[in-house]
Amino acid sequence: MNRRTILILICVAACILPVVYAVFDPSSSAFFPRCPLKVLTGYDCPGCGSQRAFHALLHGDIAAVVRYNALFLPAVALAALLLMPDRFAPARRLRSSVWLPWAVGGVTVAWWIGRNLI
Amino acid sequence: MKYYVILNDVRLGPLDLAEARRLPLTPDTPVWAEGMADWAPASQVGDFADMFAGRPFGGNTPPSFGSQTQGSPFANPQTAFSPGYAPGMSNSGAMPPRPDNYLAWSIIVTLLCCLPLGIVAIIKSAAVNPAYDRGAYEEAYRASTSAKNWIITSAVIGVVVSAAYTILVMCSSIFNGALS
Repeated sequence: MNRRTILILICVAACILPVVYAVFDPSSSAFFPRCPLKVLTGYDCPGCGSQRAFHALLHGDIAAVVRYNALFLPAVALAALLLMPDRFAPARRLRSSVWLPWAVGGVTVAWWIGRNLI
Repeated sequence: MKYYVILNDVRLGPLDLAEARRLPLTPDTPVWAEGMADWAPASQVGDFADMFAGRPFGGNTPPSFGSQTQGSPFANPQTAFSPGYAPGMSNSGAMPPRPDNYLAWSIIVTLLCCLPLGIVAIIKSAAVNPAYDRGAYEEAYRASTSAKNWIITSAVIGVVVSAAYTILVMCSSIFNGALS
């Protein structure tokens, strides 16, 4: 699977997935994948709630987005920022940052543990 | 603006200004940037001159650059910087470009693929920049490749598990439908 194929697949997914998630509600529809970790252990993983959060985002319900997964918006915003081209200086600085990946990892783990304790 | 610097007969670059200024430059370290006709001593290049203000040459006259670089790859700045000239990573001493740490994808994969493999990808991403900044280029490239592989692994496992789950749900609903 070469690079162009992957790029095409990503573009197709980027077009289809928002439509699917906007029309169907992951909470009620049984076809959406469930988190294996949650199914097996009952505990939330860092990404649990992302599908419902995405659905809520597509319907403009920001409060629900935060409720389903508090890290969803920050994570998506950060990922989008990191993917920007070199010409955009903040993106370049974040990409060469030494502390950022550790911060991301730390926050993710803290969130993972914390959300299961609350 | 990219800079090139010759230290200990090794050509380093392309560097950005901050990176070049962090090097152990002396007043007569050859420096070249796009737009300059030839190499010039660092103390005479505007972006570095302030580093040597007040520091005398110690009475030595800087050697002329023509004789110093005769016959070396640096003799002609034009060919040295033609796009075809690849600095190479292993032993030419030139600085390779910073590898991607794929942090954006590590984040995405951690958010979407549920299995905590995404966290391993984040850790691999974390290793890239520290290695690159201290000059361990091979290690930086290895960490970058490692992060990429963990991202792909997490994504593939995530997709496979999701697909299996969806198929299972469809089968069981068909099964239940057939029974009732």
